[in-house]
Amino acid sequence: MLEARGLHFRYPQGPRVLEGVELRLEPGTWLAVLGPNGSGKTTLLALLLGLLRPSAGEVRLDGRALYAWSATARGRRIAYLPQNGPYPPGLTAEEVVRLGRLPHLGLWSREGPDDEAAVAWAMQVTETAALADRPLAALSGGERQRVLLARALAQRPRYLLLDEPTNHLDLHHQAALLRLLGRLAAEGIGVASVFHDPNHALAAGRAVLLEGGRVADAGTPEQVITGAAFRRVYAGDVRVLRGEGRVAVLPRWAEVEE
Amino acid sequence: MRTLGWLLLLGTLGLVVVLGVMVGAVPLGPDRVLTALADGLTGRAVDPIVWQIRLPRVLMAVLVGAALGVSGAVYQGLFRNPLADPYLMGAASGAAFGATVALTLTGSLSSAYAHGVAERWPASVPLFAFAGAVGAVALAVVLAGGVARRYNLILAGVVVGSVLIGLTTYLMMLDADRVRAVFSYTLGNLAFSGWPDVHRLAAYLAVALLPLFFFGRALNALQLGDAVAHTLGLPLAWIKLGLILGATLATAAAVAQVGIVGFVGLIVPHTMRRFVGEDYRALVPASALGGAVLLVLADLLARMLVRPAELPVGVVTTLLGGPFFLYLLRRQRA
Repeated sequence: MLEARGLHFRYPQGPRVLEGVELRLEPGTWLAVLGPNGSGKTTLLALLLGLLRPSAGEVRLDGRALYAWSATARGRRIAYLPQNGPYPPGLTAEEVVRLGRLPHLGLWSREGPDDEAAVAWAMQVTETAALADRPLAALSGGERQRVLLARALAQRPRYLLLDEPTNHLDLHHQAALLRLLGRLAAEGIGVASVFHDPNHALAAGRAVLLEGGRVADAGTPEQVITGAAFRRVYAGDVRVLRGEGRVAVLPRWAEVEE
Repeated sequence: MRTLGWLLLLGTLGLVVVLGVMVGAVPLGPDRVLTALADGLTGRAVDPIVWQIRLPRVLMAVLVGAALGVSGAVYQGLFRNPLADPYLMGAASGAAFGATVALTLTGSLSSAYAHGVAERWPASVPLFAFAGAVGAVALAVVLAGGVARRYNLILAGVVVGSVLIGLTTYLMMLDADRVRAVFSYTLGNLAFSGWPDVHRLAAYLAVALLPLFFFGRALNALQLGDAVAHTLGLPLAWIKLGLILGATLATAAAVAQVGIVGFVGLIVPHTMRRFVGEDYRALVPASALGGAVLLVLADLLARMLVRPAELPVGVVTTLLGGPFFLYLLRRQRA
């Protein structure tokens, strides 16, 4: 289990970004993290990854403090797909995916059958095998995103953290990515994904809503989206539609509706 | 196919080395050069023109070119900046300044240039050069406000480098009015290279340069950004420190022996990318070979263009590198 216990974070001389966040991510579940800009979503991911150190509280990975794990052991358990990270334009898709084996190989070992199998699996589930020999610069935004996800999956992580993975994807690729994340959770990976669009969170098993660095609500995505905290956070800017036993969220564009 | 490419590159290097030894005031035929090389390697009596004069100079070009080519590739990968280069980042000028300070402090500046022989320099000179180079790069990074601002970093490096070249020139003129010495040091010159220089540089490069060949996978991972490299289990701080110290020490050792040779670290890695791609496991060794080829050829040009006089080799690489930089800049903006 990847766990945040009473996480506080502030930048030196900066404002508080997180205040007492509690969070649990079990393998085989999918947690969506919602919240407006500046609510601390990306900072929360950075703390869970060990990129930042909490000012107070701690992150625990499979029963031990995160910082007590070696860097490579941590890399075998947690993988990360950033929002708009840099990418090596000249490397081919397959070369990039192979970098995901680094925590298993270290800097100098040769790749073995396990590594080949992990790379092949990652490229198969992300449907990137056909792109293997093409340089990243030659791929479309959606294809590149899938290759970078395959790189994270090649780590064979127990936990996969994604920062707004549906950004810059068209509807088709959004749907495909959400289905893939559901499959990965079903296969036993603990998935945590930050979403801007609350509708995407509906695909997850659970959701938390961050507001001003605190957990404002948690539960099933439907509960969170129809809850009082969600209405308060997005005060008047969204319409929650209900029908056929489902909910959906639309931005409210007219001054007066209903 | 891959093996063929490497053999071609190695073959080219062998060819230009032989060519470099053939050309000079007394032109030598390839048979004489090859015989002399074979004699030298088997410990027999050797042709002094080949073995004592031309070969150390050509080998010096090989070592300096390899050092600067690899340093450029490593800087570019480390800073994720295609314009990074030991010359443009201020490292080379910092090294020249550090070396000059060392020579001034030990009082050996004028004697070194009076004889025109770098081999009389104290062995500590490359270490001072190293300190100067590290200081210059650190200053450039601070002035640029971090490494993320690509163009600011290069601008800051160029400014730091210019100031340090000014100071270097000042120190040299103070010690003795040796304008020629200033020119040959600030523009890079292989003419004074003998076997002791080759041995000393080889020793420094064995420590600084060889380890860089084993960090290709780390450099590849760094291209995914620091956050991802961290989640791949890399001890980022140590790897970055090792890469920057290795590349900077290699640059400093080369500059301490032969002066500032500009733009090799820019031209070579970009040219090699055309052949081996972006994979640093191949790019770093290819940049070593490519840098060696380029500098041997540049030194040939330096010897031939204004015969019977000689140009400093740095003039040739700068004339090649300036336009190349503008070409890269245009491609960046496009």
